[in-house]
Amino acid sequence: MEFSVSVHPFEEDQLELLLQKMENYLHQLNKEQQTALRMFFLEGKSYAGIAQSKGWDTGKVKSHIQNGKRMLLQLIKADV
Amino acid sequence: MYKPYNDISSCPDHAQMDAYVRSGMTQDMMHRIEKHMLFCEMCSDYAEGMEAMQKNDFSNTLKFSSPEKNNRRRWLYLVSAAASVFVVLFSTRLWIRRADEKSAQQAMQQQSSANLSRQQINPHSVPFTQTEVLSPLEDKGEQQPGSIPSPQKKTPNPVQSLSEAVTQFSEENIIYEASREENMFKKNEIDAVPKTDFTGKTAEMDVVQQDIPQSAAARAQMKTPVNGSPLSPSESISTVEDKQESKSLKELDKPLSDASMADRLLKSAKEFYNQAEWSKAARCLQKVLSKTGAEKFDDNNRWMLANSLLRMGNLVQAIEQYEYLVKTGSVFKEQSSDSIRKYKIP
Repeated sequence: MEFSVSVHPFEEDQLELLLQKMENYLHQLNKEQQTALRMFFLEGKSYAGIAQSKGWDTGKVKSHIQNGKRMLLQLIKADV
Repeated sequence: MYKPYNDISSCPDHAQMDAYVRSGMTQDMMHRIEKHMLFCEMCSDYAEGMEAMQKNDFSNTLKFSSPEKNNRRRWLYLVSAAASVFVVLFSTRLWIRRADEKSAQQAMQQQSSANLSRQQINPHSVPFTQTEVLSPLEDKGEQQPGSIPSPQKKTPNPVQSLSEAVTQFSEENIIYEASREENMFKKNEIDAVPKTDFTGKTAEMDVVQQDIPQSAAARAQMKTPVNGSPLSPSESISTVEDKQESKSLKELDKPLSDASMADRLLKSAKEFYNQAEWSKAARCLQKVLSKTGAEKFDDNNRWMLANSLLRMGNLVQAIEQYEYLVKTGSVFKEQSSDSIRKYKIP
């Protein structure tokens, strides 16, 4: 049996809305945090991979991701 | 199946964490573990600790644990504690020494004032020193009964000797001031108390002093012996006066045998009185009074005796003599009553 993901049209609209909101929130962060979050969560790269591709230190990658995540949470909480 | 990030069952095991720390896994697996660690503090700390152990970097956590540093620090603490204790002890010792010096100076001042008062009462009394007051037997090397003998004498301390020199200097100053005050007191008393010329009439001191030749040469001429051997002024004053005084004082010690001796004593007393030798004059007069009796002791002599006693500071006996003069209704009645009013202590 073939596995397929079916999304309800209503849920699909909501998901689209959420993604747009997340995009807006991401744009409010600084560039390093945006890059680190995109590469880590959306592209699925590890700290070492991000550090290698960007030329940063592993600790710096970790701190950008953590600070970006905290800022995003604050933005979402403020909006809600 | 979805597992929340804070679920412990989703935490990677030790082998996975070890592989992650050693970078011995694929990028996907690493990403999964990192994603988990982003939300799981426990795993994050675990990984951090493992990385630190791998790098052997304990500089932050074990900063003060090296024994050399601890020993050095311990020595620093000990030295600083010893220095502070030394400073405290030294300052305390200085403070105690200063307090002692202050109290010694106060005692000196009290002693000098006591000496002054003693001299006012009896001008010929020898002023006692501090050692006599504190421990009269100490300087003579005698041991006080019941006291424990000291094992050895103290060696002189330079600081102590300096302080002693300072106290001695201050003592000399105090004695000098006291003698000055005493002289002033005597002068004031002489000016204040009326004088008599032994003929029943009173006269002021300056009048009496006018009668007595003031210059040394004149006094020497007066005191020149009968044989007329010329003497230098200073020699004549010193020798003749000394001889006269010693003769009178020797007569004082002898028993009063006849009337001529009493007359000589009275003459000497008058001379002493004129020379402001109050105690000698009073001694002569008291001797005559005790031997001849109150009836034969005339008012002039009693007036002289009362004045001499007053100037010696012997107020009680002086007042007694004044009262006797008032009671007997002598020519010195009014002056005596004035003196009683002025000097009698209520």
